Amino acid sequence: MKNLRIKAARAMLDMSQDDLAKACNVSRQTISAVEKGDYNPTINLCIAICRALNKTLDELFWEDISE
Amino acid sequence: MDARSIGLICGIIVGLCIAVLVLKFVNRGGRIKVEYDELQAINRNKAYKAGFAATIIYTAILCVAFLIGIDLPMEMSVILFSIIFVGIIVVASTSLWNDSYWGLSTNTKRFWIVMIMAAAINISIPFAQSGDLIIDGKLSTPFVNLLCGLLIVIVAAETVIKHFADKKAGGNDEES
Repeated sequence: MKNLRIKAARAMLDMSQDDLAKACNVSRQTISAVEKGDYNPTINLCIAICRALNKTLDELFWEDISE
Repeated sequence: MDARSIGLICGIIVGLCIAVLVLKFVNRGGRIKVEYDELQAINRNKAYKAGFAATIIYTAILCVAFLIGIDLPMEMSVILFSIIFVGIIVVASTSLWNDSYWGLSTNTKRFWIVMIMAAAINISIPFAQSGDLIIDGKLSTPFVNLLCGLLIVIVAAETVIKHFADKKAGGNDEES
């Protein structure tokens, strides 16, 4: 499932995938894979993404069953 | 220990020193160890598995060929190095197509400078040497250098194809 919340949060901060990748110390392709839902990141990467985007884990990664 | 053995050992030591210097030159911050992120590490594990399987299969084919008495058109040194090359090309190709060939700290421009130099040296060595590439109908040891150069050319060609494939698919583009 695509993670549009990361993309939206990134856009709000005017960050490119490359900027976010550098902030998280991963490759741009990894950020792309997370956003496209092709890869489930580890909790460490989730935290790094949240810190870079000033969001909480719930805001970016929690999925309600109703969703 | 004869002069040839001493020369070989010296060559290996010099080769290792050059490898360390190249790694320091190619990696940002002069690091020797290449860093990969978590997805790259997973993909590289898959690549190593594929490389291991390819090496085993290729070696098994060679073993069968020996057992049934097929005379391979290669000297033993070329046969042994060809096993290494099969493993390397499978690992390199698999990781390249999964965006895991270059680490986070790799300076790709410097990487290609070194690779082009290495390819040019390896391809020119067999022709610069007086030894023939084929002796008694068998590929001889200088052919190993040609294989090294070919390996780099294959990786370069795959990189270019991957670049255009990504562009065409838009799969790895910024806003995909």
